Amino acid sequence: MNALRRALGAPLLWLGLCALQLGLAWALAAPVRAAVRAAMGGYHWPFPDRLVAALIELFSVHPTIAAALTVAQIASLVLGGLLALLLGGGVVHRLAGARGAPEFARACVAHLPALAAIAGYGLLLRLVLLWFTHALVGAHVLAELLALVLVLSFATCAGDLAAARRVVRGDRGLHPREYLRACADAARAPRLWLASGALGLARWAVAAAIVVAAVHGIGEPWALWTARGLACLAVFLSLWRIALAVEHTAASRG
Amino acid sequence: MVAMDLRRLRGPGLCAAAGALVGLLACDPQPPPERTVPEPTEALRPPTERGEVPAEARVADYVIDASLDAEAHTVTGTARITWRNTTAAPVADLGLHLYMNAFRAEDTAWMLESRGTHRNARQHQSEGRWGFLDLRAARLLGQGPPASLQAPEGGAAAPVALTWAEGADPSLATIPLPRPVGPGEAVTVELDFLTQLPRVFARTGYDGDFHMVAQWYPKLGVREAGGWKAHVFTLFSEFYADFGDYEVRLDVPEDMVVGATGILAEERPPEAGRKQLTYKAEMVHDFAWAASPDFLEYGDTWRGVRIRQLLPRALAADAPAHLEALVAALGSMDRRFGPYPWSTITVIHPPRTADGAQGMEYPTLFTTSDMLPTPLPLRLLGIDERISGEFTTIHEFGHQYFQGMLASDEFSQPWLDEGLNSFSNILALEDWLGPAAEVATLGNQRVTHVDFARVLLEFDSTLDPVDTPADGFREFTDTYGGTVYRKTSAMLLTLRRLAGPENFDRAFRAYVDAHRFRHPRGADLERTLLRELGPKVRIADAGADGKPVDLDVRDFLDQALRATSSLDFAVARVANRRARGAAGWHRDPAGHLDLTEPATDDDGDGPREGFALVVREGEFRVPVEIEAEFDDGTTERVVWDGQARYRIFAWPGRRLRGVVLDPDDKLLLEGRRLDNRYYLPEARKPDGVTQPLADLVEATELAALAGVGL
Repeated sequence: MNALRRALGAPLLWLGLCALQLGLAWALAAPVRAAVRAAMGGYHWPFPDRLVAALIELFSVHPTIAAALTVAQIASLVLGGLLALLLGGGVVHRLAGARGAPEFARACVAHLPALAAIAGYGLLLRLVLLWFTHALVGAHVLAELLALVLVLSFATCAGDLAAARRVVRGDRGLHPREYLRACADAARAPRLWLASGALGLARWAVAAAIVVAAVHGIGEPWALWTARGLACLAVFLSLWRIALAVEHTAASRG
Repeated sequence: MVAMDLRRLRGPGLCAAAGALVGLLACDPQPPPERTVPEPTEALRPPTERGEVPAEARVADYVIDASLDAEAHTVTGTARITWRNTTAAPVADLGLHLYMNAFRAEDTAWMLESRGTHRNARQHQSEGRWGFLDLRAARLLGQGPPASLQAPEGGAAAPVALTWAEGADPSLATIPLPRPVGPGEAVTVELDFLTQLPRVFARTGYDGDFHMVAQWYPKLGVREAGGWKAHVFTLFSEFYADFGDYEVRLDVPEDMVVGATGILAEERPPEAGRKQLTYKAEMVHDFAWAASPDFLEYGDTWRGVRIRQLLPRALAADAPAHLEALVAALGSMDRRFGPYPWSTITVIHPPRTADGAQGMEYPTLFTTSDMLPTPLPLRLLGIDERISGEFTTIHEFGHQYFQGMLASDEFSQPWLDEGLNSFSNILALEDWLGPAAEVATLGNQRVTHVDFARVLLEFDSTLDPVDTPADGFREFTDTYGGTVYRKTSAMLLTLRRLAGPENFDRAFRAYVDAHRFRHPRGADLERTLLRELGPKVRIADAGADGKPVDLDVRDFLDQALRATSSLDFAVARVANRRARGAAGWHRDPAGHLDLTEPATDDDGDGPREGFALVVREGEFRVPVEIEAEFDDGTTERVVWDGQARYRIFAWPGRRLRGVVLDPDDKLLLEGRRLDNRYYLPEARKPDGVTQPLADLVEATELAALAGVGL
């Protein structure tokens, strides 16, 4: 069973995560929508291609809207991270072949502490790698960018592997030594690292494409639907990336 | 599966792909090849092309010998100044500006107000911190009828040593003369000076090998009926001087590429690592120059005017864009405000490390600013702008007219310089890019020249009147730019739209034509506008009261120039109320009570009539047009004189859908526009802001979730 098949084999998981993400984004935008609607009252801005002027005036007169907007953006980042942590155990469990919502929920709860520890180690590893990368190649922007992609994708791959070892192989996952073993696994499997990195990069590219589509289609209905579609694609890419780690872990166990 | 794909990419293919990507991202565009055009032979365009250049406007001639020490960043020189007394009274002394002394110490007027910062650039704290102009000797060479002073250094009389005294602020000095200069007489003095350039943070100075040498020699003030108009150099004051001819001999290191006011009349072969350049300029009121060994030169011509751009290599790729903007500005201003009189214009691009020198005007020479780099990610977002580089070029070129040619007193009335120029820049943008000219884009959004002229006007232009002297503006209030540049510009654009572009342009052209090579004041502009437009401009033959509505031009100018009021109208309320009819009991002619039944319309709700409450929220009073939109799809316009605080408008027998204020966008002085269009709930369409903004927020949240989730 290869990784792609594992990801394709969990359509409800994908749909569920998509719905959650779309709902969350909609809900987080709702306060901004309500605040702007209240501020506009019955007034109307008739220039759909000259919103910059309107927004500068709106934010100047109602700075709370700018604040609400900032809060919504920060909240989406924080909630995105929290959800990844909260649902990570269930996702790996499902990609490993388990079925059923109760199973999924149980796995989410059961693996939460270990995944939190793994996330913490991952954060630390990223900080260390960022510092080293900047120190070594910080003088060359392009080299630093490429190096950052490599080391951050390594950290992501190691994190995925550590989570898979915990869920699939039953490692405790709390001790730093176990996280280091996952790092060693990732280092010993460069193809896995590259594949995981490519999918991670693709996910970032999709995130960037969402922003590009949103900015080029401000006020156009297609822009939001494109963003939603791309967000679903990003979810699938994430599942595929995690499935790579599950596949690798399952294969090494077998 | 991905691993399989990657396996195919191993080896030379992967290396080639990576190499191509790196090359694509890292490639530095080569600068276009340099291009020089021949030096003009005359400093002014031919008489048939340059327009009127009144001979009597030539008041102060300068002959300057100067030598640049590029290591010490000093200029040592001698200035021979011939000044003609064109006033009706004898003059006993000469009033001088020593502008560079503004940077001499922390207690100068300039430094006290600026606290060592200028447009976000900070005074350097170590090497090159200070700049000064040390006047070392003054001599009287001659005095008498102007014709006798053509070559005073060859005169028989020995020079007479003069004394001088610095003013309370060192940016000023006075030289008493042994005997007064009579009306119609001239005097020639020779001044030895040493100028230490600061490391540039405020227009003038050096940065490495780059030298921007401006306000560097002792310069006469302007003698007016009340005495010398020589002002203390303060943060927001610029410069004021008489027109004259300049001959400047510069001695500079051999490798320096020099750009200067006027034309290069002579270049001697280099000797001992130095070269001597002689520049001549006619009918200018200042002389500035820049020198750097790193300049590349790009020349061109426009209708016989030589255009010369000097750029450091790193900025050379921007030359075509600046040239396009400059040609657009030349064409627009030449057509609108009369012929550009000089034969040359030089554009200096200071290096990025010397951004304090960017964006400043001198006769036939100006410095522009860098175009903001737009790397690939920004280009993908559709970010583009003409404000950072091209607009600066348009703006600084515009100063060749305001105040290079219409040399108003920038200290007493800075709005005549920056404000009128900003106004002309908006017109230049419109001439260049069309009536919907865009100065910036973001994705599918654009910022038009109108948005640019109006944005944030409400917030940074309401503390000081426009007609405030430069030293009346305080750095701490941060209102100078909003008031002097943008409010003036918006005021003139508003008046232009209210009076009609053709009428206004004719009136403004009359002002420009009458004051070429003169020192116009605000009163001159006001007088011309009142004369040409008339005291009243008819806005509507029948206004809301059925009477004609006129714009009182004098009142408009008073409010715009001498008050701090802001212009703001709002639709405060719109409603369809039950119409007042004839229902009820009334006595008939015989005295009997007679019942009239109320009329009902199709929805059984009775006839309605539309009401709108329009409020003048700002103190600025000006006529405003109101457009009512009815439920049958028709519209009706009415003009309100805007004098009262509010007015209720009624449309009997008509059901309103909504009301729009200033539908033709004439009131550019109105900074707040979101409350100008109101629709009733039953007719309400999407407000045009909520959905686009909320969708954008939702999409960016999806991007964030996609980026950090799982």
